[in-house]
Amino acid sequence: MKSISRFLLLFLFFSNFGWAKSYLLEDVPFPKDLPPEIGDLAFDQDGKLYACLRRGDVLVSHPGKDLSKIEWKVFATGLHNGMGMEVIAPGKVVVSQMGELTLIEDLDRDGVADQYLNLCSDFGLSGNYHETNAICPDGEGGYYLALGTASHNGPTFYTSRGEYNHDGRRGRNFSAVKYKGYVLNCKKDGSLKPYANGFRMHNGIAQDESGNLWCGDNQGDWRGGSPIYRVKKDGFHGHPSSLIWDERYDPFGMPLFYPRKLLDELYDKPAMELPRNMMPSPGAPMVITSTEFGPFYGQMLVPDENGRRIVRLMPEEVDSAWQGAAALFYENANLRAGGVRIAPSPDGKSIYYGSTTRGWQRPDEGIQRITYSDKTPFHIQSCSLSIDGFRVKFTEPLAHSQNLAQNIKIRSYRFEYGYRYGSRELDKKNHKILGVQKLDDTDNPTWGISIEKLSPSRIYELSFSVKSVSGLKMISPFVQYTVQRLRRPETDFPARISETKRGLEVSLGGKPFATYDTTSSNKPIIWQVIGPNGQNMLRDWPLKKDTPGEAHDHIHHQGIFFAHEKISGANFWHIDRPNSGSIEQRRLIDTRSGKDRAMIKTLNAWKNKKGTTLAADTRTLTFFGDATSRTIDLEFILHATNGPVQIDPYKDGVFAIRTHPDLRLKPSPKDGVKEVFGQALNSEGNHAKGVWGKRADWVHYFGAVDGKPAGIAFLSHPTNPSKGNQKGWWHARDYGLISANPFAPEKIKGDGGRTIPKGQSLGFRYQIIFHSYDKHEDAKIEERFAEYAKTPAHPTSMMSPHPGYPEDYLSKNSK
Amino acid sequence: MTCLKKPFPLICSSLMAILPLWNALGEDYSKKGYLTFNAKPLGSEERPLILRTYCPEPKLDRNHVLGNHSRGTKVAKYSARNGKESDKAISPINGIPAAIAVNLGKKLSYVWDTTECRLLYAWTDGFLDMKNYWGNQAGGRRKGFGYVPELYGFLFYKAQGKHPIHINGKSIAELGALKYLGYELDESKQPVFSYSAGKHSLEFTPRSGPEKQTLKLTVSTGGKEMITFNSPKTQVKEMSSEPGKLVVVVRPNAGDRYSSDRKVVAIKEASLAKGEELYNSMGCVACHTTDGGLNHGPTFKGLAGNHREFISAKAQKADDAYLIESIQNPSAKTVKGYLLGMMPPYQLQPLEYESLVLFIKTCK
Repeated sequence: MKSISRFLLLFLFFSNFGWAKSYLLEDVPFPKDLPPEIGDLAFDQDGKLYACLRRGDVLVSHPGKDLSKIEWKVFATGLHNGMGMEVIAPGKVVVSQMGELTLIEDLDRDGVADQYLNLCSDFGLSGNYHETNAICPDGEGGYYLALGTASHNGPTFYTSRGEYNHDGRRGRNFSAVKYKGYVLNCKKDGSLKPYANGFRMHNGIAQDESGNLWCGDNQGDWRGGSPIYRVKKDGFHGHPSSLIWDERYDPFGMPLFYPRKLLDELYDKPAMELPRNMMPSPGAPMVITSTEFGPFYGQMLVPDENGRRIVRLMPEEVDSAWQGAAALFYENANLRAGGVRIAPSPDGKSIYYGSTTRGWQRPDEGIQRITYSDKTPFHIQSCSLSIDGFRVKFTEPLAHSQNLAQNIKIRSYRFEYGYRYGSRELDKKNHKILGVQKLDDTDNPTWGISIEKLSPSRIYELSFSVKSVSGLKMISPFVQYTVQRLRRPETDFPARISETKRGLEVSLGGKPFATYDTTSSNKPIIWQVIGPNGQNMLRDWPLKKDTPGEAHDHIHHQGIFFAHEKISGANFWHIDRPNSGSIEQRRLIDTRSGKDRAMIKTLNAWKNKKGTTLAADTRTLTFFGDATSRTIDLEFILHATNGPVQIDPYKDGVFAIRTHPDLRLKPSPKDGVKEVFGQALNSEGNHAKGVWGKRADWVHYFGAVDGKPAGIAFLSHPTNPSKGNQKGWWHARDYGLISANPFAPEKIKGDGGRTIPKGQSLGFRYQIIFHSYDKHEDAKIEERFAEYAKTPAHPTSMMSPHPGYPEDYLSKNSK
Repeated sequence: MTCLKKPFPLICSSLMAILPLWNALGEDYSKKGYLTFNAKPLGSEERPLILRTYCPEPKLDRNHVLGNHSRGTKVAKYSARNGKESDKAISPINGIPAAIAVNLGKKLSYVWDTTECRLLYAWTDGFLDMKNYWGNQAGGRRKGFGYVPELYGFLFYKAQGKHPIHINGKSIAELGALKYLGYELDESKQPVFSYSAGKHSLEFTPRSGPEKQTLKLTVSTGGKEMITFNSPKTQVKEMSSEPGKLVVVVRPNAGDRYSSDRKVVAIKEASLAKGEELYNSMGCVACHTTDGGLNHGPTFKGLAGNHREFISAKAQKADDAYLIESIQNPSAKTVKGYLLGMMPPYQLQPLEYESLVLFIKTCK
């Protein structure tokens, strides 16, 4: 890998250049016979440094300017591999040992702790060596607790503590007992509540001043690069083993064997994915809360458990998630490998860096102090994402800034997500720089860099060959920016999501648009939908029973819904049959709100009447609009989680909308529908009733609703699966039901049924556009479709097939 | 031990030769008060050593003594090679996850468990050999696949039957939820353990008894309950009993000698099977894949006999001599693209190195 040798060469070249003058390294001595295997470090309010050592002792010292005079005293002892410690007050600390969160106090004030109280031990302990824990305060008198998973490199015990799950024990890094792989909140009253899961070995956790929780995760299986997570409440952070303890996933069987696409859909992506040659194993992040440690206040530092370096993190919020830039902060051949914890000094001018490697490397244990010399180091001070590139500010003015565009190179790649240990850089691209401009008139301005082809779910590596005006070079020319999401453009119609009794209501430009309803039916539906002219666009009945002028046929036609008449023997289309099943939302995976579009992503279980789960679906709904149109975009994926999913051919299905009666093509006076105003047309030139059973890119019903122009266009994406790559087949009726059906019987020219093998997934994309025109030409459906066809699906980082690796980790493992 | 300072190396080494037992007993902790590199730390009566760690399980009755623990299972061995479960199974090992070991030199050692809230076993003339878990100063890695410390000394008490403490005639095992609360150190710097059983709060103080290999146990509740201590096959003498407080002396109910010395089994010939066993048990598997997968160290796939480039040494073919050198003295050459000084040296028997070479050669 070229980039590894590049990093190494640059390390050798830059390591003592300039930065050695800004940050001075000193060793903190220990008695020679004492193994300083640092579990955690913290200062108390009196300036005393506590060191929690993994063999069991907690030592205290008062480090002064001259470290050679340092004296260590034993404060506490007998702790089991404590990798987390917080100081509450002088003589009162909390340590997270392997089996317990312990409050340790020196009650008689003789300098030695005499009380060790069990604050919390409501989690399991399998006996595996890997199950260490880290903590940080939760700001409310309690703690966030990070419990690492166990490793297949060591055994477990015949007698473990807490509930034991055999399936949880399987795999490379495993979660045989509660709650390995989780972040939990141990509240002030001692109660323990799960907070997030999907971690592997998040060795250290920290909370920033805005209340965001941060942790890294070690390199390993299910990790492409080395992730840095902004911990998402109730989120899944990629490693499936811990899901065994999350009830929301109970219907779907053994998490290690989930279809790959399902795991990709469930994954709350990391804020940053650092390349493994930059940071193989992040230790605990530390928030810089001092203005005297360099120009990086508010950013974070993270040590490398495997290398002799510290990386700086610059996260920012983009489109309801956190992501950002990382750059090398400090690298020195004399810095110990195995950096796990960093503690800021009380005067804010230094950091104390603690390392340990026992268990994975040649011993490199101890504490070192790094002090800022007040000589500003030269690097980027910040790097932020813009609509078309990046905004960069340096710590010092540049020399020769007129050539800046020539001195920047930008390339990007992506990592894949799957059970393999680590990922190579995939889809590498070099990006042409379209322009570099000063965004203000100061001597040290912010620079706007615009590039071609900025895309989400990629890591951008910016490399700078610049010097500061005083001749300094950067410690490393690289800045890695993980773009999980793009900046959304400005809009006059912001889309917002709010919670209501029935579900989630989406508004556009302050006006209600659609409600994603998970309570009114036996499946999630969208009802009601309001068009741009303010009218209801869907039939009310049977969800609202007293609206006049509606026919009360087909009680299962409820708003907009996704269902089929027979999937693995159960009927999801009709709601009142002996074999009717139900679709149950198990998890609200993600919402995005406040920008030019809103998004709702959920996980659902398809169950038959007995409650047996037949399949899972993940669906992403996107809502956006302007003055004359409002769109619901659906990306729907069916996953064969519990067994093969057999889809039988039926004409009634699948993604359906029951429109307002005014858009019907035919009235029905005996049902109370006296007059209708709808016309129908499809992309192939069929019209009126003739659109039923035909193949087309879209169907369009238009006319008027409640006396005002209105129309509904239903688009099927060209990539939707079909026999012989044909356009979508439409079950589009004249009485208000319009549905896209990819499983219609072959004898009526549909695509027929199919079976999704266990472990596979099948996806579909559709769009429904509600507009305020009464003429087909004005609605410009052909143009809308051309744009839709070009729009890529949501990015995936799903692992692709690899020679020598079983495609289905699951189908060959039946034990 | 002042003789360990530099100016007196000659005297020091001869003293070390004359008094190996003294050093082996690890007086470091009792003298220094902190844990050292010595993997056999020992406390003293003046300075008790408290060590919370995974503890050995010396054949206790799992149903009655460890009844609050869950049962581990045999599981298919995970093959990092291809991400599959192999046909081989891995069994759990003996060990106690959440217990606290206490030592007062040769006089007394005991293990008290926080899941069962009871004294599990006690012994004299030794404590715990931590080498499986702490490794040694140069290596730092645990020494075997299991890493539970090993008992050494003379085991004279093992917990028998259900929880021996009875409150108003009922064993604690029947009183409701058991919750470990913590411990406090008394004037002798030994722990007093607190726990609750249902509505009752108890304090348990284990101390050495009046004679060698006896225990004096004090149980108090802070209330007025009648407390008794009932252990099958154990001689228990009540020293004092009043509502809310009981003191008993317990006499030995076991007599097992334990040693943690490892017998070195000399292997007679190099073999692929031995090489694979070493690959797994010595920890190589943690950093070196056999299938080309990425990890802390280079993969073995395609290694043997092929060209290698190093950070500062001259490039060469990975012949047998190189393979052995990279196990014995890994810092001699570091492969390009990897970090310097990460791998610890492994001192093995000559035939063990050869066995590993045989194994590496099969990774094509």
